Amino acid sequence: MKAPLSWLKEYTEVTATVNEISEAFTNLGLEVEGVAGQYVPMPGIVVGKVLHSARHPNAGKLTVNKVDIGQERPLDIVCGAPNVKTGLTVALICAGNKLPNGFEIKKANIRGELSEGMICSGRELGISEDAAGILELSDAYKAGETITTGHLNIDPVFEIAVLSNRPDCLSLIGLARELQVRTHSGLTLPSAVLVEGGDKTADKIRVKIEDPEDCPRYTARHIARVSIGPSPAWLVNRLASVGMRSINNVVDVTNFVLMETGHPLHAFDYDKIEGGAIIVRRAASGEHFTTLDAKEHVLAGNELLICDEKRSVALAGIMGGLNSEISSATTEVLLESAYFNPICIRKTARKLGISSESSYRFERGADPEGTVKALDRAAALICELAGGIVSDGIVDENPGKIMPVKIPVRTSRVNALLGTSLQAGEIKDVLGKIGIICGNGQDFDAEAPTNRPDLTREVDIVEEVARLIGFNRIQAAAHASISLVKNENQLDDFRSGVRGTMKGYGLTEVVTNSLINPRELEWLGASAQPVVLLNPLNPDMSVMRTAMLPSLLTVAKANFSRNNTDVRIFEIGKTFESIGPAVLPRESEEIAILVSGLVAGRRWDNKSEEWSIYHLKGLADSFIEYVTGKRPSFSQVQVCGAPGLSMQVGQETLGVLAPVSAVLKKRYDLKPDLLYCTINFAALFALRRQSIICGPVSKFPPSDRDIAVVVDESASVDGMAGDIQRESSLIESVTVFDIFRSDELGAGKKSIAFSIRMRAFEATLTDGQVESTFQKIVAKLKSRYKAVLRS
Amino acid sequence: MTQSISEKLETVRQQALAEIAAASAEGQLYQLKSRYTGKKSDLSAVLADLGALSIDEKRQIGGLANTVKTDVLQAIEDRLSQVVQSTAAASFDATAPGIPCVVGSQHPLTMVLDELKDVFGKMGFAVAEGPEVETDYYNFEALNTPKHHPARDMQDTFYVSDEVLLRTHTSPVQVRLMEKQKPPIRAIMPGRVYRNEEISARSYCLFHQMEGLYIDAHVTFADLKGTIDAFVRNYFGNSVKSKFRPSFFPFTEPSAEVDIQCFLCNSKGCPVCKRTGWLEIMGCGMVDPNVFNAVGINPDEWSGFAFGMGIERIAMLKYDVTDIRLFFENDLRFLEQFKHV
Ligand SMILES: [Zn+2]
Repeated sequence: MKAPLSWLKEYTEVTATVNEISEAFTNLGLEVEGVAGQYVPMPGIVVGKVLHSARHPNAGKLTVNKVDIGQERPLDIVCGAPNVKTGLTVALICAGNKLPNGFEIKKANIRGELSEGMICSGRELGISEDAAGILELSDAYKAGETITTGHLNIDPVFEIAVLSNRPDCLSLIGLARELQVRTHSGLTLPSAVLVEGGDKTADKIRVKIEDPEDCPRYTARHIARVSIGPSPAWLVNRLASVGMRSINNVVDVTNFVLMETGHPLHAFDYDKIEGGAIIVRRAASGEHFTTLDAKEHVLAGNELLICDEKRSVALAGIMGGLNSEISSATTEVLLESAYFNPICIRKTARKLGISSESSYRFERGADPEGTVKALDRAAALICELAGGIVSDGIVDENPGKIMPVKIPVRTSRVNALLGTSLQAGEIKDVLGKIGIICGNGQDFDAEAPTNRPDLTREVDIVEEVARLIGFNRIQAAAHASISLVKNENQLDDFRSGVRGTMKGYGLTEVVTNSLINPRELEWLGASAQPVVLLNPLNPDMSVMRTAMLPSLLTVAKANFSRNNTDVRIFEIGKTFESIGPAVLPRESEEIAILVSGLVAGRRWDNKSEEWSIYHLKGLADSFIEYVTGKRPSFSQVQVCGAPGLSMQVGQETLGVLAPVSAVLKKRYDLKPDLLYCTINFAALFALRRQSIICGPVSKFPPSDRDIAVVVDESASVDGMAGDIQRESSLIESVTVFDIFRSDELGAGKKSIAFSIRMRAFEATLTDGQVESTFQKIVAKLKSRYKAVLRS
Repeated sequence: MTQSISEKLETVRQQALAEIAAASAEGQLYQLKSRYTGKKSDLSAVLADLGALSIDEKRQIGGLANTVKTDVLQAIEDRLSQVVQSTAAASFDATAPGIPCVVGSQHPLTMVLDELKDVFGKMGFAVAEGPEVETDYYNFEALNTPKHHPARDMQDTFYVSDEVLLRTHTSPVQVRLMEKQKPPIRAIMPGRVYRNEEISARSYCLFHQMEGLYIDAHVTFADLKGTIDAFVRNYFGNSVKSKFRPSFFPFTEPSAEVDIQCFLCNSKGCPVCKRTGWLEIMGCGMVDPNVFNAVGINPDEWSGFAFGMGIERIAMLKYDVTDIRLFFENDLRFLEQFKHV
């Protein structure tokens, strides 16, 4: 909402500075987002008098000027503006100084002519958008004076963010009413001096409201013998100052009153209203209506229409019809000032995609008691500017009369909620300043005016009190009471712990978009049903991911395209699986890892390692053991078209790891090899080691034995290691230290070498114990894996 | 006889020790080892030729030969260590880089989240979580924002169906918490929220929020001011002041926006604070009685406050990030700047 200072001053005689006014508005909850038309005096920007202006000898569009700036010698200035001429008083910046935007003007030679500065336009001084020509100042100013706001004759315009619960502030009067609470400058409302005569309004207009719920009140006046023409300059300027275009005197008056009072009005060409009848009714399904912007709308059947005896003439509260708008031929005017139900207007405006000044106010809540005031103000102005005669009387259909609300307020409650110790008198005093009438006593009734539909409950009044006295009058409590509630969220703490551990593995955390393109899920061959958005921003963000991989591949692609070739990333993120349209989806959290390139960067000793599935398996194995205290078991599975592994601890499947398949790489247009791993967060959390019980360690030396066996290719190395481990409690660890295949071993065979460490707790192992354990291992491997011992 | 053999052994010893001392390579030393102590060595030859000697003489010469062998082996071992050490010293290039050792980094958004949780955790706030896909009821209705309320314009919403949507704030977690737990309640709700807004340097289709809720008997607006003030001083610096100005949220009343002194320019005014010296960092207010009624908490018995802030906004201010999209692009060169302890 734009509020020009000069216009505010029509209703409250503020003398405060622009900054003080901005602060007052902001502290009342009317945030000033900016002030247009502000100028801070700058050194070197002064009043100049153009002594002589002549065409530039070498450039047709430029002029060379002698400009007096109150010094002995006038300056030479080359200027490109069309309106520069001898005798003009201008704003000039001397070379060597800066414009408000920081740009420095330097002495220059422009096509052979010296220029010692620049004559400024409004845009260059940052006071308007106008760059078409230079500013023309009053001749009363003396050459050489530093330019100030006064010289520029500008009107500061406050740009105010009006919150959606404050329709009353969508008007100059409403804003002035708020402002005077802080500036104590009083409120003067315009008076409508109306001379009625001629016809009786009741003979000219008949109003019938068929839907009193959506149209509780409809008031109208008839004005005869108007002459449509241009508006006077003051009205054109007022409308321009709030960004509205002048149309003609009658329409401009309705717009002016709209901005002044916040109440939307509509002027019909009376001759186009069949039978002088106004019928307020719901549209029929499929009915067509053409708004005055010449757009045709097909109506669904619950829009509210204003109709005459034969046809519809306006979309109630939103926009008038093309068929009844004011034209240059109009001689009689039907002026409408009604109150419509906010929800009804909002629904229609949304559905038809129209947002007008009128609908914006009605859908937030206009003042049902403001209808007549606005109507009379507009009628009086139309008479004044278009020379009409206002018919005698007013038509006022008010079937759903809205009364001011009486709200019981307890002084004790105000103080209890705010933490203040205000007296009832002070509370009533501040409420009175915005027209809230309060009864007597500590506990009293506060009557909220009808322009404040947001005030219905005691707590609303509490807020008004806080706002009006100012939040800075409420002292921050130095001590808070202590709540003795157990406060912990182990899941969240665990999440932080996992992050730290992942970081230690050299992985960098990413945070990705959970919205993806559905075709990415097709590429994965994902079977889970995704959550589909009804109103996505674009196809690439139209469903929620059911897997983490697409998000991470997108990150990898972005990094590859920037030559970040070594990718080691992880995310703890959510996936979403739809389990039916009417219920909330299943949300699960995953730890997802994606790696590509070198494991630990490029080395100079030719030992750089590229990520392989064994690296990632090792990482997952180590991580899961770190978190759960148990080694996972791995089994081979196909993962998105590539041979991968699933990971289990006990009966619980924790996740999978696999290379990204060639097909998938092609879909994402990725060249380097990638590997990924996902671990279900909740499952891991459930398996986490919660308490650590520490035992003693053996004091005796270990016995190490190596064993190498040849087995079939199908034999599981993990399985053999596990079997060895389980063979005796004396076995402390089993490490695979060599795997190889060769022609000598023959096709389908592999050789595995294990290093076995044995140790007892109570004594050094004897050769006999070691040997017999070793023989049991050999026997187990022979029987279970048909292993042949290598010498 | 024994005389000449023992002289011979001594000669072998002298010769071996001299050659060992002169050797400068590992290979040479291994050759010497096999030459002087191997099966075909002079020493072995001597020992093989004792047939003519008496048992005592054999024992005497044998002992002598073993001493020589031990001496030679010891000398080789010693020289070997010297040689190995000096070779290593010669090949150590102090200017060559170390073998790289990688460490990851945490994402700036989760870093800020962790910091905020830490500050509020110390004030006794627990962490509560909830679903990202929500019902209209929890996201709007229960928060005093019925259908067709103009306040819904403030939050452009992604819908899944008429009644199911992507949450536009973490406030539904407050509702779920209040339904589940009787007061007193003191919790923060961090999480991801979605807004159907055009993507630009200033806004993304999703972001992260952290809201807080405190409900107890006799909680006042003054308590809210005190809590926020304590948070601001803890997190942004002890000297940073905050101020409240009125605002509107359907689920709180009175509602306020909190501005803090701009720490980028020491509140002198800079482009980030739009030359005002103040930065807007959060919204807050007293829980609206309609919200209490929706969850069955008696507003005459309990009162409380709620607050909420955007994690991206704070991270952008704190790390001087001017484009919100950088957080979601995950360029590793951007992320690696956040390595720290
Ligand atoms: Zn600043």
